[in-house]
Amino acid sequence: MIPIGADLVFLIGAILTIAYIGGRVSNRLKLPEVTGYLFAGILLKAAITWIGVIPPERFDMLLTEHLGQIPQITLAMIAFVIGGSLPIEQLKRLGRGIAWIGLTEGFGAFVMVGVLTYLLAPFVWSMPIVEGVTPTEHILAFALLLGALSSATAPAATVAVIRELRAKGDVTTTLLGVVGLDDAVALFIFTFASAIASGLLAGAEQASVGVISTLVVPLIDVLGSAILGTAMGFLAHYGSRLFRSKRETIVGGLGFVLLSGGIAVAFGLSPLFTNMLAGFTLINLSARNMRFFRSLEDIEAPIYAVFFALAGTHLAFEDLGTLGALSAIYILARLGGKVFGVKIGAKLGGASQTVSKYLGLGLVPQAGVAIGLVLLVKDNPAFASFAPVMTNIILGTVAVNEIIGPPFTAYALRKAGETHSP
Amino acid sequence: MMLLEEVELIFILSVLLLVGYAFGVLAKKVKLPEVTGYIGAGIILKQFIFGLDMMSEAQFKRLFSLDLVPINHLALALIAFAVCGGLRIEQMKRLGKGIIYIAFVQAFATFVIVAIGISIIAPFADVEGIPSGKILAAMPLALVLGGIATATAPAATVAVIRELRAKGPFTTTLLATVAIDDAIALLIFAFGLTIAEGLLTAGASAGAASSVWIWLGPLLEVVGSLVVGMLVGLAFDYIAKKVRHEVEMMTVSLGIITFASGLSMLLGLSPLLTIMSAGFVLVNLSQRNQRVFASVEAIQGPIFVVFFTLAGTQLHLENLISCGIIGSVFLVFRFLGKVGGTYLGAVFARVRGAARRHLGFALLPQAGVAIGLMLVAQESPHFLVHKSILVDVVLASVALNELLGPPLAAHALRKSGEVPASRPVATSRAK
Repeated sequence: MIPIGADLVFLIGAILTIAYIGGRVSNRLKLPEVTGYLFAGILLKAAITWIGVIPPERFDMLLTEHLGQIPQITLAMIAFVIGGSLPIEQLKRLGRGIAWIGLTEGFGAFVMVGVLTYLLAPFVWSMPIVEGVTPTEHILAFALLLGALSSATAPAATVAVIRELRAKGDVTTTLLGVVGLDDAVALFIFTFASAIASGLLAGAEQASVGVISTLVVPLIDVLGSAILGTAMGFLAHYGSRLFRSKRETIVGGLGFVLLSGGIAVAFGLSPLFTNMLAGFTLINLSARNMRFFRSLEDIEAPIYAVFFALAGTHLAFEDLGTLGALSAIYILARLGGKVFGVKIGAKLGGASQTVSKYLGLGLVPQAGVAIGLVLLVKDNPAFASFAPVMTNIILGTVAVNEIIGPPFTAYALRKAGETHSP
Repeated sequence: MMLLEEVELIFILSVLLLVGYAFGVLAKKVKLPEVTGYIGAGIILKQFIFGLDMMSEAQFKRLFSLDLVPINHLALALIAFAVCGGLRIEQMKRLGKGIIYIAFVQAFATFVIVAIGISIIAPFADVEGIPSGKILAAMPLALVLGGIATATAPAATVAVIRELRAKGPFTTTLLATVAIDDAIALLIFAFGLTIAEGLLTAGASAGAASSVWIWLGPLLEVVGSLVVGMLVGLAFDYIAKKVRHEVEMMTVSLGIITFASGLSMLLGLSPLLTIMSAGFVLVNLSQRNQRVFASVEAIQGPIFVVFFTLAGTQLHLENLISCGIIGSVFLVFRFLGKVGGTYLGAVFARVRGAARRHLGFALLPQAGVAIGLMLVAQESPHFLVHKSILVDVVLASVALNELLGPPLAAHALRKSGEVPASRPVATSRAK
């Protein structure tokens, strides 16, 4: 009689062990551990499919259903950590730069990818013809949406690299702030672009209504998350008076992080923002609350390893082949847009030369948010003509950006001279 | 109103952590072990959810038993691992044969006394399938329940030892007894079940043939688990030498422990015995391997809180009433068997002092293993008629012993004088 979930436990053990090995190999090759974890996931998937220890359908179910909660839990922790690394004294000095760069790197990628896609896509991809829509309008809608998707970045990989290299300094803090802001910026750009694009495809009269209503919803989302996060921060601050030992801080701290993420999910708010604000509130209420973040540090390593290895199993390289040219345009234009956007933002926000020079390279990783947004494209019937293509481009480029992103981030931080670990 | 019908796992986890934690603090205030607080929190949480009709029975089962299965397995594996972190051969040698005597005698005594008690009382207790006055007819049920009675649960005991920071010969003997008991319980139960089935199919030649297999199965399970565990321990030792940082150590340790636990289950072995044997090999191969055990300590905190609070939501207090006379006999005689058997074992081994008088009180908690054995007995076609009484009695025993066991274990540890007097509660506040 084999107990329920035996194969799941086996799989978790295999993921942890292989992720560790991947991290070590990656270390040897002077790459960030995250990269090793991702490759471990890719290899694990290949190995399990090849050897057939666990039947493929069961394997998919284990990954998506039973381990499907791990990303949510990990991201809640990561967002909390980001919020906690932004004390107000530093924000006062760097805040203007963060705000400007957050805007310009998002818009930079949007504009660059949008324009280049609009100009180049007709040469590399034969767009399906839709009745009632001119090819120009069609390609414009496509370019707008793809540009909007490109503005999203992924905080998890960035945080993991910063932790591994024990990076500290202006570039690091600005990077964390920008990555934290980026979600909001990407969401705004996307809702805006999506409203215009559906207007282009569906006829002008619906467009104006769409723009207003789609802009209000994310605004409520951001505001609601901010309020909830601040409230949770205060609650954790006062609740933490009970903690008498390190062990209790771990239990209580983790409980609070998951609770504020869980409440945000329950109310349809963004768990990322909520937890970022909770972490931000905590660190600015009292320096003693540092112990929340220290205690999470004690337990986060295996959770991160599983998270990234799982992400590795979901990477979809097979989607790259057919849409190689479009994907290449997307990846390069996005990188260029980010780097260029950072330079503009750094100038406007009075950030230092080092920030201006290196920060853009730290913004390459892309993951969950981009995938979440492209699923919205898929759900919208107005975009049915190109949604499958767009989904494939995003899944493929997420794979590439997730793999090449962390080494870029590590390179940028090293060059900026902010790392304290070999 | 089904308020929580759509709730996500992340929310459930946070509730288990925070409510469990809060009740743990409360329990400490009234001088009970934290574990009792966690279990109590689970019981109250369940009442609360169903009292306010927050979710359906099916939803509760999905969220609390199915989705959290990996955490349960992980917690049990970590506990089994922790049990053996305290079992160094040098220490055990100094304690001598006392450990072996106590472990075996308490198990056999419990088996015998529970089996005799039930076979005498069941014929007069109006039990379904047992005609009044026929002691022989009550034998199969008595043997199986006797076997189940020997099982103890390491989890609560380990948690209490951790909380009290107990250390010394008494603690070591306790850990060793709990560890060995897992293997003995499996074998005694198999023995009981074999004879019981033999009695039920008396005379039939098929009975004899199958009884060999029934014996061989558990023996293979015990030996197989020990062997696989040893191999895992050897591999673990090799890998641990190559790990540089403590942070990495945690990932590796968790990885190997869960991997071995899953593998053991997939092979049909006992994950507890496998991990215990791996831990035993590891701790005795090199002094440096202490860091392996230390590396998983930080993450044990939240996992244990979730595990015990979850266990509380799965307790069936209602069975304490429905289990009836048989259940009361089981509970009382098991208690006598554990306490008296420990005393007897200590007398045989000429062990004096705390172990003789108090160790038995720390052996009461019962949980997963007992339920597992009950499920095995249920699978046997001969026990169809006793199915409901088996469930009632075992669940009642789990409920009562999980609640009363930890405070008694804490009491026994305090009496042994191995609990440091000043616990660093006040000092860690200043940070």
